[in-house]
Amino acid sequence: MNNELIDFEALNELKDLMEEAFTELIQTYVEDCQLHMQSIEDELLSNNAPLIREHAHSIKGSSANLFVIGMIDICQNLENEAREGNLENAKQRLQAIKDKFHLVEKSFHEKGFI
Amino acid sequence: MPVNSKLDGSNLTITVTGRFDFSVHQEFRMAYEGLSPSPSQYIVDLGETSYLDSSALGMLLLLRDFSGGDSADIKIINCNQDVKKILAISNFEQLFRIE
Amino acid sequence: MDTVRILIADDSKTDRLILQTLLKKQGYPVYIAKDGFEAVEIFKEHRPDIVLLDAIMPGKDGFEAAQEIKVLSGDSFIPIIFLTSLSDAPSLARCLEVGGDDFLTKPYNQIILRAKIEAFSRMQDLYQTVQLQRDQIQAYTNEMVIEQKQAKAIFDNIAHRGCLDNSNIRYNLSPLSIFNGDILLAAEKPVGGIHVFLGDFTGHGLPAAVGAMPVSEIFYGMTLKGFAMEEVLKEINTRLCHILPVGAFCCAIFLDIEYSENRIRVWNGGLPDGYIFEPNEGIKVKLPSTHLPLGVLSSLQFKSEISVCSFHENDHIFLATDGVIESESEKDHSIFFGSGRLESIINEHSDSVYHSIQAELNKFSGNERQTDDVTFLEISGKNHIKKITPKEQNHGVKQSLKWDIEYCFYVESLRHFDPLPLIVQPLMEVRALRPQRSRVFTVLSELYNNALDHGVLKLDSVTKGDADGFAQFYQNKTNRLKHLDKAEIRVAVHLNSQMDKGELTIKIEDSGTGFDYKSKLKEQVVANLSGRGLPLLKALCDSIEFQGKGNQVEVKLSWIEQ
Repeated sequence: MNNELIDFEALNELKDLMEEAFTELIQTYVEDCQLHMQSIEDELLSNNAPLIREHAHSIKGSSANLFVIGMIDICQNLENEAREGNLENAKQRLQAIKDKFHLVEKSFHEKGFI
Repeated sequence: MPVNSKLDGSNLTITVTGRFDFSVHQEFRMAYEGLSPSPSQYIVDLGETSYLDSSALGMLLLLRDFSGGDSADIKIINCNQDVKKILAISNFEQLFRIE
Repeated sequence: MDTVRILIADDSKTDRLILQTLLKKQGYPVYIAKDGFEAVEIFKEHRPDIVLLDAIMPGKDGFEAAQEIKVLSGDSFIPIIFLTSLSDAPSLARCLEVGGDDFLTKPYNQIILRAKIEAFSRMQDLYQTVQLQRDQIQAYTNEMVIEQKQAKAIFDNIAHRGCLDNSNIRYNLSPLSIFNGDILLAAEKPVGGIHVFLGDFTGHGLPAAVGAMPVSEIFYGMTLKGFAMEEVLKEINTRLCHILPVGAFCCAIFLDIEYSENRIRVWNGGLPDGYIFEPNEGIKVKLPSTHLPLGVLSSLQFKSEISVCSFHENDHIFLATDGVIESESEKDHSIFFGSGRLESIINEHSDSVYHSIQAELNKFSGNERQTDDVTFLEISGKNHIKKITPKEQNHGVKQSLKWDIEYCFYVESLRHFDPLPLIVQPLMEVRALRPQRSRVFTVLSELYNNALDHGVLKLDSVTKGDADGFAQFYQNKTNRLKHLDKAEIRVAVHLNSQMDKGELTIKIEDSGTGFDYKSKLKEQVVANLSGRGLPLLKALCDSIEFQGKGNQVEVKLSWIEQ
């Protein structure tokens, strides 16, 4: 398991490719994650495992595309459990995701992406 | 290559391997056309020929016409039973020397 | 390549943005859908060339959308690339089940994406090319079938003047046999008896069919005019030499069946053995190929030597092109029907050869269509029962005619030339004589042959009795003709035709020494005087008179217009 949060080498390559659209991309990613995290919180109230799984899957996917490696495993864990209908640890998983995301935002700030 | 030719002095031997049918039409012609000087005797070796159809008979007629018609000197050699039979039904021994 | 239009369907805004940007930068026009429903709608409206589809989407997911898109694609090939971070095999399998063609995993790699798109684009081009060619081939094939039908119609008009449908002939001939190069013709001769021509042109398709048309014209034209089979063969050979390219030829059997003489004359150039057989007795005589096929030797070198066999009422003859013996066995394509099998069938089922062969062929090849395509026939020695035919077309105006024609044939002509058609031709221009054609021809033929054989060549007709005797007779005739030095035959025809009746007077004089007809007639030894006997002439003519030394004969025929 890679302890790196973000693979900046790859992300910078993507930045070059995206050119002027990169800023919009980062913003979109941040908004997307926030939306999905909020949705998970809401679905927890009704214990809707399938929907929780979908949102976790989405965050994972977008993170993978932006080389935010640190988010992948924790989302995968929640996704797997939700697929099995096991929401015992869901609240903690969500919190872990939120914490990790906080670090990601910070990192983006430092790099001047947002 | 189903058609092979060998020039020995002024004798040209053309060998046809496998099926002697329309598929070897081009090759058979190229074996005898355009030789300078033209051979005086032609030998068609059918030792390796498994099968002969009417287009093969046509090709032999073309060779005969090309090499002088009635004055052509063409031998057909090493014919197996089946090939001999086909040549016999068409009475080609009236036009070619068959051995 | 850059006109490849791509549809992106993904519910993640982030993912859409990346893909969109990557693709637009590479010059591909893109359409965007946020879910499965939009994906299908946009597909319907814009018909993109490639679809990038996210598997998991809310509402209509990628799997469902993929299935619908595949159906909407119809005959075209629209590749679907699933966008997935799914790592479990069942889900990937599902992608393929619904028609997915490939996967693109996250993170999206620009180079891999481009490679996939280009590869699928090439595949699409190939697919379209193949479809186009398939359609073109179909169109050409349709055209060709129509052309063949037209060619066949033309051929049928030429070829169906004959007597193949006589009751004593059974034949198996596919309607499209003309395109296999097979041709079967039969015509009644004016003197009685029939000519039969069975031919097999090399090659197939229209080239083979085209060769058959002049052959039919010549065969029917000359046979109807009374030309002998040797002359018809020579003419056919000459024509084929002219029109066929070197290397193309026609294997053929020509039969002249003389029912009244119980005799059959045969010429076989390149076809398998014919068989004369008798029901319940089996094969009596084989008729092998002794000549080169037609269209090979020039007219100078052409050989028309005929084989003669006896052919009685109970005899039958069987002929076939090589399609029969070369039919392939259903079970093993390297096994052929063969002449051995054919002969066994004829011997064992000699009372029902035609049907037995048909049945055996069907069984052997397991394929009725294959049997349809082979050509064979059986002819019985019983002269067929003439059907009442409608009155012959009579062109021309009714008028009175009176004329004389006189021919004199010298030794050069006598040696090489059958003058009968020449003499009959002007007579056939006379409208009133056309219904009498057969009668006139028979009389002239009889008179001329007697003048030549017995008058000039002094041949003895007794030997003509059987097949061997006939062969001997023919041999003698050929020899004596070769050594003939000075000889003449004169034919004088006087026609007096009125509006409703007429009379034809024919006088033949040969340069031979004649015979003592006065005493011969007294003795009633009439059979010696000609092949079929004086009775035939007596039956056909109103009067017969020998004159001079017995080397002159004058006959009168009269008729009344019906």
